Amino acid sequence: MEQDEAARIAKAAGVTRLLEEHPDALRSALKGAAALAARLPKDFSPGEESAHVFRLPSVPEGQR
Amino acid sequence: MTDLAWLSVADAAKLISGRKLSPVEFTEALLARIERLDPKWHAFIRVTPERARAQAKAAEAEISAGQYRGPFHGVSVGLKDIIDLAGYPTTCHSRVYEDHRASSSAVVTERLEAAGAVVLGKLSTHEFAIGGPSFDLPWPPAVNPWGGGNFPGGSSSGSGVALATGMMPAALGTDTGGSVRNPASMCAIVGLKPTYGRVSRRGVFPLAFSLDHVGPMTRDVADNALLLQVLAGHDPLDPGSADVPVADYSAELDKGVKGLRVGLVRHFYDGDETAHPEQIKAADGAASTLRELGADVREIRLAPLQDYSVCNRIILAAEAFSIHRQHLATRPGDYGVLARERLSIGAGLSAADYVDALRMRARLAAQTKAAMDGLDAILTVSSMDPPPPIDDAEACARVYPRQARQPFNVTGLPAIAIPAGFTPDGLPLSIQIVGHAWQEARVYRVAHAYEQATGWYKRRPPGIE
Repeated sequence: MEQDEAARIAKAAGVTRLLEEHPDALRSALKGAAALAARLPKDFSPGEESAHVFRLPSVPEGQR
Repeated sequence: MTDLAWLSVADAAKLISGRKLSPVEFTEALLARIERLDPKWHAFIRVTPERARAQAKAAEAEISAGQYRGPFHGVSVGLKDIIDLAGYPTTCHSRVYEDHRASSSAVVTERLEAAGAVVLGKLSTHEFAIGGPSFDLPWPPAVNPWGGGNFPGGSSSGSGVALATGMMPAALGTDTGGSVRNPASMCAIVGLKPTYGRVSRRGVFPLAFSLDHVGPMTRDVADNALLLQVLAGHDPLDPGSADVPVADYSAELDKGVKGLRVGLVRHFYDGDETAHPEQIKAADGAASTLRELGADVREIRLAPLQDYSVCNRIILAAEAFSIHRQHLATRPGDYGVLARERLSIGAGLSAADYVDALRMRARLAAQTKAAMDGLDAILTVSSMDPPPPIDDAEACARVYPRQARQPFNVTGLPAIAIPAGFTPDGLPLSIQIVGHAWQEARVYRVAHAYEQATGWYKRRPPGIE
């Protein structure tokens, strides 16, 4: 990973000190992230939803 | 004392309820054993003898007064040190949390203590349940007694080691990508990842909210069912907890597997990955054993193992980075090398990557459910390899990708790892039995039938009396 690219990602993620103090660890992690993301499916249909974890109660508040 | 060290929960409960064993005597025997053995095996971050002794005395007094609470009354347990115990540090095995003291207990701790359990202490983990085995932390990593100096798996490594060395009959672990079942496999014990939402995670330091499970770890399947019975139940304050009735987890144990339909997922370990030859033999042998016991075992196909792995790892990395971002930004040097790098992966993932992984999760869950239609359970491996030496960092790192546990974190299905034999060198092998959501009782039924037919669970590590 290019120096500039790692610096840009570290800044965006708010971990510039991590890059300064442990550059090899962050670069290795970013390389791993890119490899993982490359293996995601590319064929989702627009209506194919994510596995949500957010749920509203099935019974309205005050009626429980 | 040797007999007390290897007592099952069920047998201890019989003796305690029949007033043939004092909880105080039982607790003192285990505390003495911990004092003698733990300096070598490092299962504990912290032993809590004063609390344990007080709980044992209280249990004895209640039982003497005719107020017996059930199978965990006066029986010792341990907590992975990401699970809160009021008044004690929850260190997460990390310098970052070295001074973090829990003001209240986790729901699972409260449930155990309400059942009368005696808490012996806090157990080693990989740093924040992700970075290990590590030698650059304030405490050493737990060591596997099988092989005398091997990796015990993780991240619930202390829980696995404490059980395998006879320090306690039951412990709690957590499982986000296999962290209950990995040490179960490596330490020849029994570990269940329940259905997602079955057991409250409140008061447990999170690794990845949507994948985290608390799981029971024991030396046999019947004890595991007893422990899940204590832990299971709806917690309205845990957003992931499900309001689903709790079954009787021991009800099906002795029903056998005759007539049950079991899907063998062979391509996970002889196709997608190629497991160690002895592990392949053990899993194929388990299929034969279940057939001999009357089950209809047929080979099925799920999505490739690597698909589940990518999905699990992206979700885990994104959620874990969110949880750790502030500490990684301000005190990165306080993390060990392994945790620092593994927790940083999420920095390189985009919002779309995370959402795509969640979409992939929904797809994989639906595909898995369809493949399991008409089946009672699935059989596959847990680890691909027996435990490597703990000082072989490369071999230990290979344990993480070479496994078949992540599919059941992604799908949320209940999965148990149980002993399935040993290599010629005496190292543990294991299998997984997986069930439909909320059907832990059926998982236990299949696992118990196999366990009783083979007896692998009775073997103890050489040199550990």
